[in-house]
Amino acid sequence: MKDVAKREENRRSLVPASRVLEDSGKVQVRLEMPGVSREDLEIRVEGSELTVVGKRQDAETHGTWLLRERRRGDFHKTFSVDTSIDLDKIDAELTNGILTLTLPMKEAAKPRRVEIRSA
Amino acid sequence: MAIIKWKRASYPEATNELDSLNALERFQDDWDRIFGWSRFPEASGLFDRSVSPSIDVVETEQDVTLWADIPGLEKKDLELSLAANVLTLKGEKKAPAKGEKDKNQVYRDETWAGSFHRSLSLPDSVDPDQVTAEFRDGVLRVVVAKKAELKPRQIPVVVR
Repeated sequence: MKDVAKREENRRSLVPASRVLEDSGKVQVRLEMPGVSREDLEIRVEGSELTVVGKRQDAETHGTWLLRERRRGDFHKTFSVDTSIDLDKIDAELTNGILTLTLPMKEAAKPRRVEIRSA
Repeated sequence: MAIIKWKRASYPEATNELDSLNALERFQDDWDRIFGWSRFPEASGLFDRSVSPSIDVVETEQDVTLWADIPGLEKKDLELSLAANVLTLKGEKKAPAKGEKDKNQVYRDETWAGSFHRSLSLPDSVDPDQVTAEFRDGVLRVVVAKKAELKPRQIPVVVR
């Protein structure tokens, strides 16, 4: 029993599979975190670091394992965010185990086309 | 946006010599580190690339429970069937919308998309008529009860 308790303290941290794309002035980050509910999710911004922690409730089982492929542990991921991102306007949405973060770029950082006047 | 390397939060100490599963995972960690994969997500490294859902199956005296990690899937994209004791899980994990064409740039993509199909043989004692399935937060949970006559029964002993 002691071993079990110890293992609980040393929960593995998993890194969620991510997909990062930039699209029309926004950076969209998708993180796959199956088994994480809204209440177990924490998103923090500290300085220029964006940290996502998703705690997973492992089902209690007392039976015999016939197959064991799923990884156990909590999700952790830290991004360092560029200064062109507006950290106050980050939007987060969790659907079916996928967290989608939308990070809008600051107006000044958006690419702008300069019109040339004809003389 | 720069993405920094993930820092190892904790490295589990060996808790039990006989815990071969843990030992294997530690070996994978070491191996990945040698080759500089540095335990990036589930989707990198020699052992972690997944192209079908990970599944757990646990058998108890009363039932058999299955869990499958299928993030991003919707109920309608999932098909589950049970014939005798063979459980089949079919579905399609759709790639996320690409956004406006030509205007987006994908910096990194570790996710997989595509269709999957897995069949599992469950113990013979399961009852195909007693199945419940729920899908929550990207995890599918299926419980198949065992046939009543095959459940172990307590036989009371009367002391006279």
